[in-house]
Amino acid sequence: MNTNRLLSLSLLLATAACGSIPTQQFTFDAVDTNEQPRPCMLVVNDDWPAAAEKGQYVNVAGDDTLTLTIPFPSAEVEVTMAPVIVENGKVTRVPKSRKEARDYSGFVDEPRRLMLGDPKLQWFILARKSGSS
Amino acid sequence: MRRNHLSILLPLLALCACNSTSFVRVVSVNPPDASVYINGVRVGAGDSRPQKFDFGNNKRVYVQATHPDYQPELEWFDLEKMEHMVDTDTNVKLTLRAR
Repeated sequence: MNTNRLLSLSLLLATAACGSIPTQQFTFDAVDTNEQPRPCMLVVNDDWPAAAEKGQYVNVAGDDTLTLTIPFPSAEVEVTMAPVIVENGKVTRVPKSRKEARDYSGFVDEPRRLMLGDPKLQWFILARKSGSS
Repeated sequence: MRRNHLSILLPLLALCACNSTSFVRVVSVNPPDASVYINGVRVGAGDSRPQKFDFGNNKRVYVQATHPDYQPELEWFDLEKMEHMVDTDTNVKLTLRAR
C-alpha cells in the first residue's frame, strides 16, 4: 500500500516537473547614450496593460533596477524597454504602444528577444529619436 | 603509483581544457572613444582591447557600444558563433552609426 502511494506520488511529481514552464530571473536597467539612467517601463510579450498594472518600471523613483522572473513557454520571449517621462517621481503618461512611448518621450524603445540561459543583467541603451535634442 | 596518478590526472586536465567555455577576443569599436559593455557591465572605452567571453554561466553573451553622438549597437554571441570566430581568428568589431 505504502509502495503504491509512493509510486503514485513520484509519478505525479515527475508529471508536474515535466509540465511546468521554465522561468528565469532577470535584472533590467536602462541608460541613454550619455550613460545616464533612463526612466522606462518594461513590457513582456507586448502586454502593455500588464506592465503598467504590475508597475514594471526602472529609474522612475530614482536610479534603480527591475528584477523580474520571466516564464519561457517558448524558446524566446520578447521584452521591450519603453521610455517614459517622469515628473516629481511619477510617470506623466503610461504608454500603450511602442509608437506612443517613442512619440511622447523623444527616445527610441528597444525590443529584445530573450532566451533561457541569457545573462541575468539585461542592460538597455536607449537613443534619442532622430530630430530630438 | 606516481605513474598511475599521472595517467588519471593528465586526461582529466585535457578534458577540462577541451571543455573550456571562456574565450578571449579583441573587441574594437568605432568611434574609438565609445564605451563598451559586456553582459551589461562596462568594460571600458577605447579602441582594440582583448576581452573575455565567458559561457560558463550563460548560453549567450552580449556586447554593447555607446557614444553620445552615435546610435548604440548591440551584438549577441552564442557558443557556436564564438567557436567559429576563434577558428577563423575573427575579432569583435562594432561600428556605430552617427545620429
